[in-house]
Amino acid sequence: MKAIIIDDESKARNLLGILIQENCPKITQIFEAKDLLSGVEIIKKETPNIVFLDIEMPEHSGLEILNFIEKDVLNFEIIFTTAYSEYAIQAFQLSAIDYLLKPIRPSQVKEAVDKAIQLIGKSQINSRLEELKNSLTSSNFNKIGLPVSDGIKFVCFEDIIMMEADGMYTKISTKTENEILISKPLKHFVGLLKNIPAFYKPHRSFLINLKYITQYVKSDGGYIVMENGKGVSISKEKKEEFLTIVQNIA
Amino acid sequence: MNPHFIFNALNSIQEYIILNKKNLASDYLGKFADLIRTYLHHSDTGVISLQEEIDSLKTYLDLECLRFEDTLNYTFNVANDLNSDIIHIPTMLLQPYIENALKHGLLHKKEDRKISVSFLKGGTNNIQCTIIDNGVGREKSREFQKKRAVLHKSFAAKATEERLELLNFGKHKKIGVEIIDLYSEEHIGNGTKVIVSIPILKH
Repeated sequence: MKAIIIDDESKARNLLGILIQENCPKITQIFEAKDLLSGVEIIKKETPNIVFLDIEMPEHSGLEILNFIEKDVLNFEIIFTTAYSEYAIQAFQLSAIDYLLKPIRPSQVKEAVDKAIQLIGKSQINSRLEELKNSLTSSNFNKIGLPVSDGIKFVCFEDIIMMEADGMYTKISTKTENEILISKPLKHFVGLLKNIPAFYKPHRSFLINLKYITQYVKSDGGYIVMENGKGVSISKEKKEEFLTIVQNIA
Repeated sequence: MNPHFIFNALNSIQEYIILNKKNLASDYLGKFADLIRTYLHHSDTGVISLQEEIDSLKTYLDLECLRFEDTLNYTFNVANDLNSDIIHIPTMLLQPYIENALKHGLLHKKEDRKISVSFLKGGTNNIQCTIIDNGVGREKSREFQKKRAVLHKSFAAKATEERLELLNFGKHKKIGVEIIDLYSEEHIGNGTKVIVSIPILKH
């Protein structure tokens, strides 16, 4: 398998190259480029399977890659490498694009490469990059990328009815789909959606979209019924807070 | 100080570790620690001697050189009639301008990057710090920035502006900043000059 490292700093290329060689035996050939345009040339010529792409580079940032590669040539996986801020990291997570934070940990390189190898050929990298660009350029992220067995599914925030914790997994109900099981803990989504006011966590196992509440039932200690007919528990300490919120929307 | 710098510096040091260059790794790790120590100290004191400021700027630039390697050279000049141990200036005043020169002007230049910092007497009780870079200039840098996918949050510029306002608030003698775009004979941007004039705090 072939990979390319695009980074303007020779130390960073060198370092990542060694970490890949030592930890990812499936990658047998590594190319290097010191800016986006020369990297794009090599991608077209050598067709690597995985592209390690730095963001902050002279002239063109790594995020501009879509502008230089025709969509039908996009048959590789991208792993961004970055020293970037929290803000960008949220965008990466929303678009389900993998990234490595500098300084780079060998175990994370291994993990990211394994994941990328699994996704090659079925990952709609193109639409994920579009989503990434959207979430980075507008302050209104409105979609979330969910890793499912055969690729990535994008769901609008407003179509999510509720999420339910299931150990290290999360069950997500949307308007169009009854239930999708995602191998991420609920905590992951609570973090991602914390700035979206429509989402509320009435209980440690549930994150709900307030838009889809149909009923609040007083009996049995009080619980919520969602539009899809499912009941959601309210924890004792959240009850008062929840009732205040409900009164405000009513 | 831009968070980017911290992580890029650490990443460069990691290369020395992986390559088993123990002394270089330790030296730069030490420098990095020095810089963080100095800045923690500075954020506490509010005022430092000109010499202390020059020393910490040099440490900062040494760490940036790690990243830009031999494509970056810097020089410092202090006029003979300035006693840099006695003159005191506000802390963290000049670093953002040097960081801007690197981030916006010099990053896009790719080679032969130069930055010069000089200190002159600017009249009584005033010193003038001039920072010149030979980067692509503000106009070109803005073009590159515009094309980038990320909304640029001009963190440093805003923080610096607010800090200047705070430092100048209620003061008779104010800190002044002037930014001059430099052009070649063919009228192509070839650098930026920043002049910071600072009232001397202690003499």
